[in-house]
Amino acid sequence: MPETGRPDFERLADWAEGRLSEEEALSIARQVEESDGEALAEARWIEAFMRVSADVVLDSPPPEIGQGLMRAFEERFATGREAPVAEQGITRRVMAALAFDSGFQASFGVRSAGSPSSEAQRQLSYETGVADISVSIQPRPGGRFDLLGQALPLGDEDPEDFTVQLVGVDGVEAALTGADDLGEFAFEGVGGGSYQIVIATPEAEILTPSFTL
Amino acid sequence: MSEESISDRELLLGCRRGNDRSWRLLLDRYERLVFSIPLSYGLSREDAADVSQLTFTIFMNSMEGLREDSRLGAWLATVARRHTWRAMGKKKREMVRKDRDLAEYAADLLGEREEGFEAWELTDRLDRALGGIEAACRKLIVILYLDAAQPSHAEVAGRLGMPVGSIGPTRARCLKKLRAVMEVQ
Repeated sequence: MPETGRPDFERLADWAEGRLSEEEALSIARQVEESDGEALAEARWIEAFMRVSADVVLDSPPPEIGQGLMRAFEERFATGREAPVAEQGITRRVMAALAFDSGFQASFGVRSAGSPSSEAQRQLSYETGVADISVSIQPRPGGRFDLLGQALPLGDEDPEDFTVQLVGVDGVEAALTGADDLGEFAFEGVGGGSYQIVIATPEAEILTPSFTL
Repeated sequence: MSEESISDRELLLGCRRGNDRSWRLLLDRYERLVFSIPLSYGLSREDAADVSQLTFTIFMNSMEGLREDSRLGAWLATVARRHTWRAMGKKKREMVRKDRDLAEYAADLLGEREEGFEAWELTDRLDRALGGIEAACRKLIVILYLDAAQPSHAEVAGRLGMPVGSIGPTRARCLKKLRAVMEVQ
């Protein structure tokens, strides 16, 4: 027998979880359609929660992690030395040095250095002891930019293992991608602003100085 | 001052001074978020523990250079995602689609429309909202919906010592409370 009235939260949860028979589910769907806006909002919230919770895992780390980090913090302030990252699987963090910036070069005699043109393509190259990095900044109409880059390892690392992250000046991710087998990577349609590129290789984390689009 | 009311800025300044309590509070506030990012992408608990340790260690070594108005959850999630990708290697490209799909549901779940809402923010908001409901409800929702093992109602009943028949009505009451907390956040 079809249900009438406004479905309660439990029925809506059963419905969203697929726990009802086809007939019951149709009946609830009809009730939601015909009921006030609150029932529809509840149904949408439950559906969104079920969808999100299917992909999100939320768990507490084992207590040893927090205990170890508390000890590391105390040691850092007792010794004044940075906490070692090698124990966590990367041997070093490397600041890349800017080796070439076509924006600065093109601007000599035209405008002050440090104000590269926002209309022309710009090429940046960085050197580190781990990999050489080049980035081509290509302006798009509408004030956005495509960043096409390549990270070439100096050793025998596979560049496909490189993770490349575009990070804003607030240290928050703007985009994340991986390099391909040639070490190439791309960020498309990036908005104006200041960024740095952070490349995580199997053994090091490479940070470029920040640049402005 | 309650722990909840301590701002990220105060936590950062406290950590820079070497204040143990600030560090403990930072871990309490964000360790579940950071640990859950690699878990959400299918890494094992051992790998997730490695990513967590590395993320907080990098924070410890970087905190002097952070701006005082930094959103620490966003900063930590950025580092955790980078090292989750690094740990996953070549499987990583599959994850981008997942993030985009998740963000589509954020508006209905949080009752707001925001541009560029990220998956990590959803996890953080869920974690904070769960902190606002009673422990029994929190435990039930986490096991039922946010546990990587995705146990059945019968398994959940066994783990929590509840009759199987009470799981359905109890979970509905708990979800309703969670929604109410998320609405006022």
